[in-house]
Amino acid sequence: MAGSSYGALLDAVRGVRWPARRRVAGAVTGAHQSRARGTTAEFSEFRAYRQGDDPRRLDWKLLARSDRAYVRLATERAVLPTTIIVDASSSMAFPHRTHDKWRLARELAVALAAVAHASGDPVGVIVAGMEGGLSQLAPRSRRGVVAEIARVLDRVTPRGTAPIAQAISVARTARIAILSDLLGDADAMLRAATIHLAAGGEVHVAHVIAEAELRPGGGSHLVRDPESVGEERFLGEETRAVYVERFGSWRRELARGWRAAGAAYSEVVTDEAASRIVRRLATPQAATG
Amino acid sequence: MTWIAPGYLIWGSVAVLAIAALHLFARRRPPSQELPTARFVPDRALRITSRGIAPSDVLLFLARALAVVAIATAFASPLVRRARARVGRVVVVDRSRAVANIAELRDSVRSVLREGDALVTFDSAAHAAAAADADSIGVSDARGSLTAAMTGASRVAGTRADRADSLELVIVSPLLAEEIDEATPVARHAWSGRARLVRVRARGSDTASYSLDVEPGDDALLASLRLRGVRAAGASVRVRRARPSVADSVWARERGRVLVHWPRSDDRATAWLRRDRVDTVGGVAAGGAVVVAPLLRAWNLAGAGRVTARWVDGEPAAVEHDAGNGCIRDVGIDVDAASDAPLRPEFRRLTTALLAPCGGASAFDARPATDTLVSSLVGAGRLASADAFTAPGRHSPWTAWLLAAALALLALEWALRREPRGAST
Repeated sequence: MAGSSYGALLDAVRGVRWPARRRVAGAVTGAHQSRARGTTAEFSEFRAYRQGDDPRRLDWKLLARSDRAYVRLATERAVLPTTIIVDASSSMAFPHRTHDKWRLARELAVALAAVAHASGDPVGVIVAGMEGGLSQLAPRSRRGVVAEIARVLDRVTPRGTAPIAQAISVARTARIAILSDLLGDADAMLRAATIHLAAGGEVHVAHVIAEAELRPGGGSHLVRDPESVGEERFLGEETRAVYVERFGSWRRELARGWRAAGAAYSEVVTDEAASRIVRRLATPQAATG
Repeated sequence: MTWIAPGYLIWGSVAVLAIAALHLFARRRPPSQELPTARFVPDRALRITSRGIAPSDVLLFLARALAVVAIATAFASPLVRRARARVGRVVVVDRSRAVANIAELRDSVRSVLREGDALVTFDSAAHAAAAADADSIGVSDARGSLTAAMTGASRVAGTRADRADSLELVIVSPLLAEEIDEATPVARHAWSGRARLVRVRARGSDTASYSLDVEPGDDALLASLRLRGVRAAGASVRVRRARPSVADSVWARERGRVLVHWPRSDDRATAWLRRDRVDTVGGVAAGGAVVVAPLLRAWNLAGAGRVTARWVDGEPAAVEHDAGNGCIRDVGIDVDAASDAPLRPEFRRLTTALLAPCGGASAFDARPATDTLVSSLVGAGRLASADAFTAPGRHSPWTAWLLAAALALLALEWALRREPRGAST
């Protein structure tokens, strides 16, 4: 059972809230502030009456005291359907022996799903990878959906390439969380995310990086990309510094692009605890990474 | 411990040194590993190799070196020998027709034979015998062959090589010239050490049994035959230059008798098929003797009987046919009166073959071997080393085990080579 391996993590993220970054347009009552103003008991503000307003929303006491017609406004709450897109390409099966990147991506997916589900949001998952295919679990808010997501992820072995951009287009929910090393077609991903953001959705990106990618081991090695056949490059003392500089530059450029598009971008490294990462991702400041 | 082929140890040592040098100086391809972010590594030519000797390198070197050592040792074929005597002996005893007195021969053998010695008897062939059979050695009618004796001695020495450090060869023989042929020096050379010769008395010559009945006159051939000695009474060979008489034919019908009809080339009374003209083809061969001289050929003896001598062009020079229990031999070879050919040693050997008993059995030649031949047979220097007689086909019992160990080490080397080195990722 997935719950047994994720139990400690789920305990650690209990109580964490993942608020929407902006008002949501949902009609179903939930935990996030809605763009709609309603008549709930949660008073928000007064607004001068305009022709067409429901006369029943007039504050008659204020009208009597001030002889001015005001409408009483209240804040509405709505749910935020969430889709978690998990990159299951072969580059996520790194390091070769421990698959730390894939382990962290799974833990983050389950923990974020639990956090969203705790707020009453429907949550689903799309696993992109496995020879270029998509495996989707539609967003649901029923009990047991988190365990279902965990089971789906536990059955996956990362391989092949991941069509993340296609997954973003397929996801119909307002909130999308992308858990990926972004080593696929990053430009296509950003374009698809930009469209989603322009449509009023929100995108969270957790850029999964292995510690061994940030600081490759000492000595001299021939290294090869598991997603590109054949080419080997020499990583030694002379080339390691250039590699670190290039990799860092690419990450900075990536973060700038995603944030400029309006996404919440965070780098997550495999040596950090998943519960801490989830708390960081769920906070509104995550966008500044 | 000794080695059958120690040269392989040298080659093995050279190979181990070469492997060590390669491990110290060879450039090695760095280990390969996956890195998803490999695209950020500068794309440069792979000229740099990893440096330093990792523990896996030491293990790899040890596996390779030990495998080479095991293979070299296997091919060198080690032999672990049991305790052995300092000197062993092979006693070669002549039991051919050359021996005059069997009792003397047995006494001589007893005087030299010791416990543990190998005994080889020979006449025309050599046979290994047990030392206990020394008192029952008998003499045969066959001609002795020292070539066969030396070959047999070397063969027996191979079976005794692991029982002694050195081997001494003892030859008990009258050592006559007829026992030595062209191959004898070669066979003797195979025994790489000195020999001890114990000579026994030789049997007397049969030359005196030749009976010559010739017309008086100046005849070089008859003169040559007379030099061999003549004994008319009790002779087994009768030589006739004139046409044999009825009495001669009757005489030849007795067992063991040979009537040799050896006419002159100008003898018109002989009923053989004459050639158109007398020629000198250049030489004649019989019984291993070859005479190159202007001998005269007057008759054509093809199809006249069993050939016992041939001219150098292959035509029969002498034939024989049965007569009762004996035989009559027709010899169509004549000698120019002015020629000295009958005085030559090779002609003497030719006449020995032509006067031989019926059926081609060689005549006994009682001439002793020359001093030169004897000294070459005895040799000089040290005794032969027993290792020199180790059979080329011998196998070490360790070879299979050593090769198995080498295979195991090569498998280990393969496993070590496949094991990735460097970073844990």
